[in-house]
Amino acid sequence: MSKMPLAGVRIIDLGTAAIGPTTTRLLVMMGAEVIKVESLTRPDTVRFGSHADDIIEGRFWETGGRHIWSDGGKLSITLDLENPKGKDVFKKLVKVSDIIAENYSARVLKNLGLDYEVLKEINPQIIMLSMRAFGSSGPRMHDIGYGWSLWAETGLAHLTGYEDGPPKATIIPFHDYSGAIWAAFSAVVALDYRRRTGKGQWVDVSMYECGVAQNAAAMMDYIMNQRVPTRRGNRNPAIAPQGVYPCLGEDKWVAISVTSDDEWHALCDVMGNPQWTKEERFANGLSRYQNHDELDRLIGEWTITVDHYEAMHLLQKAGVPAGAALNCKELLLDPHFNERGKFHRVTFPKVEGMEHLGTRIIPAPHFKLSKSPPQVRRTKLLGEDNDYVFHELLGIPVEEVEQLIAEGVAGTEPALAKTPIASGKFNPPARKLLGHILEYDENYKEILGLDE
Amino acid sequence: MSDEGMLSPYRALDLTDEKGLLCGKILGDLGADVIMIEHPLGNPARRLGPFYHDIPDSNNSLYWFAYDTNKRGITLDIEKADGRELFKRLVERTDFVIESFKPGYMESLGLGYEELEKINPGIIMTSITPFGPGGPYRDYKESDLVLMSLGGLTYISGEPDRPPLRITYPQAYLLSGAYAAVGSMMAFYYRGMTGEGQHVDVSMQECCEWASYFTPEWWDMAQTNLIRAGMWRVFGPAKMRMVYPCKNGYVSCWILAGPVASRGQKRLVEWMDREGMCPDWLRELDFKAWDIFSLGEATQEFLDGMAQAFTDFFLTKTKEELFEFARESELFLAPMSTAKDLFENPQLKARDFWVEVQHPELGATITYPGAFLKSTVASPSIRRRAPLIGEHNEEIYIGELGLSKETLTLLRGAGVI
Repeated sequence: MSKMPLAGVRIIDLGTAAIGPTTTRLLVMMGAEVIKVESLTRPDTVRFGSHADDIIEGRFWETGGRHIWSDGGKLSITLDLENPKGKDVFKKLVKVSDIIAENYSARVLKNLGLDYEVLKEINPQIIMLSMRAFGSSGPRMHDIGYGWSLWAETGLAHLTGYEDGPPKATIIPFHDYSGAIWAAFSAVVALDYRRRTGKGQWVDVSMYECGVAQNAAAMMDYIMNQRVPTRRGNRNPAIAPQGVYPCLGEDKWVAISVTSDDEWHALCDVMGNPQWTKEERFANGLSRYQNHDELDRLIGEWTITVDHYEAMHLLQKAGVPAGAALNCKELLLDPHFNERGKFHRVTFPKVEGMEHLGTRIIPAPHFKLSKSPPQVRRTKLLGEDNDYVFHELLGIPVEEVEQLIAEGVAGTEPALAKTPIASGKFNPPARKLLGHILEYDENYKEILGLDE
Repeated sequence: MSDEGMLSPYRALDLTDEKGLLCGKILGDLGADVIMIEHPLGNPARRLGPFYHDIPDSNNSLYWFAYDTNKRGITLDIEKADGRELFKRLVERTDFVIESFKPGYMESLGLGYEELEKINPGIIMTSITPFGPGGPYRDYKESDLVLMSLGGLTYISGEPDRPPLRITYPQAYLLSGAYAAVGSMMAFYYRGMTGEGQHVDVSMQECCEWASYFTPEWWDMAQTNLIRAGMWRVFGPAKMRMVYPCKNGYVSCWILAGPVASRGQKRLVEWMDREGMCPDWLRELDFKAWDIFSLGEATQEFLDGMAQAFTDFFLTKTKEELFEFARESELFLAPMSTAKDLFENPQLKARDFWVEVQHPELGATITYPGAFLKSTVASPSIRRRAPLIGEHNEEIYIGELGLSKETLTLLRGAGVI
């Protein structure tokens, strides 16, 4: 008997860009058979960006970092859903599947004649999981949400920023990744409901609503007390001092949160009890908060002399909550994450045009089930599973499959294989000179132990 | 559509504090019978402000209100032998146990997963801890800022020439709670096939890393260690503003290259021109001919000039006016909403997002954020408000476990309940 929770569950993954592939990522790592469906003319945009070794040639659509992290373990087929034959194949697939996951805007599937109303006639037990910015109803239902726009609209932007300054934008599509958690949860609830009752359903997840619901208490402060919560940098009136302090080296920081007088004394001890710590104005939490600017400056005089990991260890040993502010590289090298086995090493086949992929790191999900270790596997090549799905799973005769390929309805060579990509290379050395990135390491593979 | 949630046949025992409350709430909002088990002196989360009308009472914490909807509440001291026995009796008839104590605490009381599995082989036990049950940071102390920093989110936010920044409204506990809910359901679904429960281990540091998701991949894939970019978007040698002040707040606006983006930008410039606020050089700029390379070759002076022209114009318009224009003209602009804006938002109203919940003890009806998804079967709903301390002691101890009133009084006197 399989140890995987979602063994035997088949999911059609129409997801694109962020929330779609991320949600199905959680599901595939827990044992579901996820079939990623893409068009040859417009493969999923998740494939583009952070390309391996900054090489954007050859089979570059297979080597994008986000694609490798999101789509590992999923089967890959291509289908032109605008073509009637493509639609037919799709409907055949729906008949033998359990979930359809999609994050198009509300009109796309409707225009294709493949929305829930149609598909539940084909398979009444089907679970449709729609993940949209604003849901599938209401005045905004057709609007596309982007990471940065949802960040602004759900109120998190307003709540992020230095005390004296404007709200901050972010490079992370926060609501796609946090929304994916809620969407994956909903998918499993729907599966369980169906197992119990035999009934399918349409689940309509709105990233906007998940974002606002998640911050319920902030909303309640406004609703109850007419107070609009606003940004405070890194501070919190109940915790003083709290902040992110500069450490030894280039752009290294440690986060410190002093939540009690005991912790304050412990911090002072670790800093060697400098004279200033005995001043009356730092004696209790409230007055420490009131003198926060000066306090930050003084603490910074100590932290700047210490390595940020060292500062964390010294403080934690003394019982003070402290954490190094890890950058991307440090996250992947962090001893704790590695001991927890978070980062799996996955090896890619030596296919022409992507030989340089070799072995890469893909993280496991962030819950650990005692009996069900996650399956972390490589991405398949575009269309690699066309034969399996069309022929073996759906019983479509070989000649028909060949006809589909000949007509461009399915296949393995995307249209952009013939055109050079416009965006050019990311070019780390140039970016470093310009100060756009912190640093780059030519020997990163050696450091990560990815070389054969 | 029925009123009964999809998880209504199931029960959860919730022993979490602020680090894990959201998990039980999510299960409860979908219909599960969630019993919050608190120490007789009350859950520490009740001390978290802000408070209802700023009255700091342990039944008034808005954090408590927000993340304990749909839960019934009992008191129990599981450190006492009698308390542990009662807990085990409750475990016999439950599906989920969710806890956020220090790693090893439940085991030290003889209530770890191995013990509970003997009582109820189907039990799903979910343990939410700052760093997991093992590893070098296992016993490290946490705060939201510390967790977000060790998860990589802090470093990547803020201005490059200023300290890394966290989101003022704490996210670590919330990400962990949501993640714990998925993990619990995965284990539950496994049980549906096999009859066996599992232990679900959720590390809060890891949940924070999930939200910074694709940034570490840059180093793994392309040798690049990213830095925070603040409110700027970087093109070639120069940076373009993303955050603009306006008449009543701020908006986020992305100026982009390419034929799609150029339409919206052209219309913005035309609007500015109609109001006499468009410099000549901007009016003459051919956005359509702009591609990613011309953007990459733009000088800082040029981009600053454009940003200033937009700023001057935006300052004469409200968020709402700018956003309405953006929607109609395909400009990439979004308002930076405050809690007030969200509460008045027409989309949320159209989706019946807000729910009225009775608080008879306050003599009030309070509006809560409601369903975070819609289902053709049963959407999440709020059936009851967060419990008062020990509110359902009688209902559960007497009504369900069959204890007598005298026993309950004795247990109360002994501090077990």
